[in-house]
Amino acid sequence: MLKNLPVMVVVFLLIAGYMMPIVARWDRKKCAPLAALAMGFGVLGSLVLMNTVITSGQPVTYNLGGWIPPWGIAVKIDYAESFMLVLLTGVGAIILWYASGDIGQELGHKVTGWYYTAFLLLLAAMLGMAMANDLFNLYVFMEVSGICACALVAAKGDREATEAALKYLLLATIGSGFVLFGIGMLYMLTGHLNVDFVALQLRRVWMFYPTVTWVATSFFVVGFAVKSALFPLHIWLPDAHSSAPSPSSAVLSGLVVKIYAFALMKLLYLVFSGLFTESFPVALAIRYILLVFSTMAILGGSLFALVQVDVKRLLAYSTVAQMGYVFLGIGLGSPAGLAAAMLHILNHAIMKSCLFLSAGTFIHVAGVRQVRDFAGLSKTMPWTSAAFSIAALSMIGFPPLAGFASKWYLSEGAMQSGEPVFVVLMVVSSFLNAWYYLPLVGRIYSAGEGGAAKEDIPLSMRLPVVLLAACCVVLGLFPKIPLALVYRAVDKFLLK
Amino acid sequence: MHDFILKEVVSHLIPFIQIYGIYVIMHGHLSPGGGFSGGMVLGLSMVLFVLVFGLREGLKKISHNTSTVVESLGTAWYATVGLVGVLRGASFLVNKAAGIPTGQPGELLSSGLILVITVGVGVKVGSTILTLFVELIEEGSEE
Repeated sequence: MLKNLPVMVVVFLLIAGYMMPIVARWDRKKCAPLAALAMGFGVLGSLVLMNTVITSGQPVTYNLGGWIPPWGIAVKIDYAESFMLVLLTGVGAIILWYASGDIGQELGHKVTGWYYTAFLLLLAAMLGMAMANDLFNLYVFMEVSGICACALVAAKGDREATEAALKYLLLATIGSGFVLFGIGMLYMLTGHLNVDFVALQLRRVWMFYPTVTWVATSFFVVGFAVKSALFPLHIWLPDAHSSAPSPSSAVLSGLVVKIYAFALMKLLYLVFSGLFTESFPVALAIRYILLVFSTMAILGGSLFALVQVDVKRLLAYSTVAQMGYVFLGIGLGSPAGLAAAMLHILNHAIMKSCLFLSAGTFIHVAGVRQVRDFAGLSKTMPWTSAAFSIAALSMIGFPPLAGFASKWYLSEGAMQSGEPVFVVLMVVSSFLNAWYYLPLVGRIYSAGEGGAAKEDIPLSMRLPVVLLAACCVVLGLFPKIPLALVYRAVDKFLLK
Repeated sequence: MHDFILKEVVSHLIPFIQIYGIYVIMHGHLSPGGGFSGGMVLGLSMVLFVLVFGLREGLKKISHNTSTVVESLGTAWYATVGLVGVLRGASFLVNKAAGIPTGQPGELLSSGLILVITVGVGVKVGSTILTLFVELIEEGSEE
């Protein structure tokens, strides 16, 4: 069983996801426990895998169908992958917990079963993407996650959500089309799809086909940038993330955009590693493009967020800005920069899920969506308000919270690669973040009506949010815990 | 629609279409086609039934409930068959290496678990085609 654990983590979620509609027909109340069971298995499996990788120091590999690598599909879990697995299943489980209380009321009971199906399939696909060591397998899981993410957006079924989902579907298809072409070119150049073999072969042949290598690299960058909403390509994100049901927003903003950034990081540093760090002009150009776009994302995302009146749109634009940090770290390419990118993937997943889920509680219980109606919410919902405020302050980068650690290590990464201008960018962007998050927090704690309805918030909607806020504090106080793993992962990325 | 000839012809035609669909599914490992194409033929035979006899008659044959259950089981079947390899001590989706008898090449029962999986795929694709078609029709008739 332990030998088969990598694939079991994915397959259990898949089977549970497929069974959901039947379970919903039979007894709707049994959906949530079954989904929780599958997620719990996912969390346990990921933790065991991480433990195995850390104690043995060797990647866990698995050949599907027993076919060995150049021919068969391989799965490989190294430090970085195990980090992503634990992050995806952990945050996914907390969001699922929240969804079990929220989704029945927000969407109506008819679609509950299908919602769980899309949710579990999305998580399974993201886990598959994280652990795939085969380019085409990566692409397949990318498509599965893309379609499930669209389903999660469209689940609400109103006009706005349907339009957003269609927009998302079209742009995501363009993104994955670029990635597919990139994969095709790499296959043409090297004759392999397995990441290790492609990397090995590409180092021998790229100098004969510099243009094709260039185009393939650019296609990967553009494709994954569309999928993870890097600034000029982000136009689908605010609609999709703000019109979706709250748990969907949390999982899309917290996890889905991250996994594409992670896949790009993995490809750039593992497949194109030989060229990306040598004096190959294209590699340099791509690094600069990433740096420029991420700077635009950090400033532009925050400026757009400033003028939003709808809290979920504000949070969505904030995600655009925060993805800028991740891409900044990838573009910097120094050990601390890459480590900060991965640390921020974790920190932002937790902060943004917390913000979206607590905003979902505000919308659901008090019926307020506009920022100006937030006055006095702290009186009716003290716990949720506190969690929202902690996550918002962490977003700004107040010292003992998680966001501060990300910004600190990003600055360190900028200094390491000799680009001190990005330290200034960090400071400016913190001010911008404070400009739109602080009034929000102030509004919540000011005197006011605090929404109309005063119904009880179910425990399953209150505890997950508080748990995520607690994670913000813990990760801010002890950033060394994830960093110990992240630095080992980065060492593998930068291994020549 | 009360077209006697059409109904009579189609009701004799559908069994043959379905047998052909099943044939394509069963011979997926020997000839072109397989779970997807065979399932498509099966699904289209049901679409033909709905087109000629109307939605109400069609839903009497296969209700929403049935198609939901069939779709879910079809996909879950794939993953479950993959587990056979794991239970027999080999890895996921293993066929021959897990000790499944594969028979004589070229015969119908010569592919071990592949045939078992293809049946699941065929059933799933067939009912999905029908569901998509029914969804479209119902959306149109509501307005």
